[in-house]
Amino acid sequence: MTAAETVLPAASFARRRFWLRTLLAGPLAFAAAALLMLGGTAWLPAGRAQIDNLVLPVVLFPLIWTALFLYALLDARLLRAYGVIVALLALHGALIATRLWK
Amino acid sequence: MVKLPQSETKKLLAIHGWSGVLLGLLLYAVICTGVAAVFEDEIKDWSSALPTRAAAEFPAGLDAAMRRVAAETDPHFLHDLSIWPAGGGRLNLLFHTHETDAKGRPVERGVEYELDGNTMQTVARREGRLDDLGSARRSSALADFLVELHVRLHLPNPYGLFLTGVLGLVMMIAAVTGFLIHRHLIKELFTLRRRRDRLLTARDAHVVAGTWNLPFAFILAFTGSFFSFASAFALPAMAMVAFGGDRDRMFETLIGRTVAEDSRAAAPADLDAVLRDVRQRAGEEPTFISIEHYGRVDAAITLFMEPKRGELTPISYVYSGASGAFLQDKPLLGLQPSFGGQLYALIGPLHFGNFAGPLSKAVWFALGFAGAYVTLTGLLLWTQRRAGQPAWRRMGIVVHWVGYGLPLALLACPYGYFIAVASGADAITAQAIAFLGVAALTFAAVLLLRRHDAIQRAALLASGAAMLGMPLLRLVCGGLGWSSALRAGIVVVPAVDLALLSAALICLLLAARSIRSARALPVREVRAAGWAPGA
Amino acid sequence: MSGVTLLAIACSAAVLLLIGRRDPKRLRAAGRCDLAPYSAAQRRGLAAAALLPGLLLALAGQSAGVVIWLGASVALGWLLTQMLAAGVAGRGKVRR
Repeated sequence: MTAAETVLPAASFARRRFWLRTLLAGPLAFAAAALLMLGGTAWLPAGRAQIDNLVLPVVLFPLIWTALFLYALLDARLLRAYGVIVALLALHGALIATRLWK
Repeated sequence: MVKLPQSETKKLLAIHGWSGVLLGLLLYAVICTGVAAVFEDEIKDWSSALPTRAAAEFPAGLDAAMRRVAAETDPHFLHDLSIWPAGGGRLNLLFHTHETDAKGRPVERGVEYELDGNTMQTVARREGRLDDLGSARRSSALADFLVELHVRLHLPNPYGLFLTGVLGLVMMIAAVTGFLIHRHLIKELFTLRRRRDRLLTARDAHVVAGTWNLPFAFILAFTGSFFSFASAFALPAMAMVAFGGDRDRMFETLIGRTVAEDSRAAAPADLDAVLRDVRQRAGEEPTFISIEHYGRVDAAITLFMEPKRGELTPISYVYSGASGAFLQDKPLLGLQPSFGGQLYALIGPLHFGNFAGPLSKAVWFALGFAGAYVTLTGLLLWTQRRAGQPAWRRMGIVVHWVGYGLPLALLACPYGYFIAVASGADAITAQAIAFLGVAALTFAAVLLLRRHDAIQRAALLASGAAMLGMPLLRLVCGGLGWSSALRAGIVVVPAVDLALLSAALICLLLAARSIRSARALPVREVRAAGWAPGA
Repeated sequence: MSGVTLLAIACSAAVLLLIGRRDPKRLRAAGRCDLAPYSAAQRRGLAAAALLPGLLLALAGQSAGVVIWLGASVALGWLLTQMLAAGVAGRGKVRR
């Protein structure tokens, strides 16, 4: 095996990880934050004025996205990070779907 | 302060740098315009002051004026009415109604009257879509140009709002990662090394400003991002998911309905009497009046008030629009206090810094200035560290151009505005020409001067000269003189002129100091300070 | 409200100036031997004193005052750091 053969797969592996990480921290983290915001209306308490479940997710959306973005980039185990974000997406996607097709 | 493994710190540093460098220049533009927009009301008052001024922003006689303009308005638009001080002593009365466009999308159209708040005479009348009415407001065009740049970078809805929302997130990410990567946050709070190692000096300048500004950088980014995303994306999506696409029902739920629906016609209540009553109840002045279902039995007048003395968040007072009876005081959202409503009410004051008059505005101006400084020094540091690579050297040119050219281009806008007002040209177009013209000139100047210190000096000199000439140009173009303004009790005109002259003086003094220290340095060292090849 | 808030800001700024003047790392970096740096305990005590006006405003229920005080304190802290560094440079104490 030549030096080039050992280096190239490692470089391509690193490149693939980079793009997978970018996909997770970019579009997927944004989609998860958006669905968490919209799905949150279903499980957050409405509070005294009956508006907390609507207001809190919208107000906290920038914080949710920042947290998910940083988590997606910083979790050393890429697969686990995908698991967490995809689980959030699936759970809140399902919650929203039940509200839309009610 | 926060001890992380070295690999994590490296990763965070990369996120901090790349997030900043990819969108930092746009973020810098948003922050710079935001700094100026803190004084939006004062800019409006200063740039287009009418010669006389009523004692209150919503003066007695408003009721009669409202009925007069309502009689002149197509009844189709007499659905809702918004009234607010438009700057320079003007009052805007906007009758508007909800419609759907050819594609079935909700749009608002209306008729807007601009009144002289002292004489109550109509100064201007505009009709059309609410989105288009804004760009037709000539008297407030100077402040509007700045605010548009700050809010949506002059891009169409919702793309501009979405972009500024993302910029807010970038700023939050930079603040959080900056906090995590800096191991000696407290220990180095006062450490600004002025060594000959320019990179170390630049690093200290960035870190010290960033550390002091950290809590407010986060707050301003978070609140700004909320404003952008809420209207561009979050609220429409919320209406779709939780209210089956019915936006009106969503807003009714969020704001709260105080009067039961009754579409029978009724004469509007006396607005002057309502204003007298609310001043007594609240002890503060209103900032905005909204009348829903104008001329109906279920009409409701909502008066949004200044926050009470010592408090951050405002509340609103609701009156019957038919009888004028007081109905209730309420938070901005919901009919009674709630955690979500309170959190929402905090966002505006924390972003605009307009909750305690000139004192809070001055502090917010300083915090915004610090934010702009942190962004620019960060970008300069990043590009200077990589100045050995041609691509980063080119990026360095762009950073210098935007960093020093943008404030100068913004200072050119009043020149465009005043000349347009005096000559009858379109104010927004004139400002855009002035802005882009100066931006092009500064690009040429950056390429010509090549050295960081020379560019900085030229920017200071040009900014000083621009601010020095601004009050003079205002006067030449028919603006209010100091003695007339003071006689009419319009303090803001000389105050802004004086602030500009003081800022000009500071810029010129700093430029003079920089020239003196450049002369003291040997030629070899001056050359070494450059970013450009061969400098 | 403004008067009390301004007083609180002035008190905190004065304490920040005291901390900054004798900040150990700053003095070390600037090569200043003429001033004795504060010990960690002294710095902690002064930091508490700098925070005290804000705490008093909060106890008095002046929410607007607290936010203005915090904003002004961090802005003035930055300004003081710049001034202290410029002062050091002005006296020719720059380390080469």
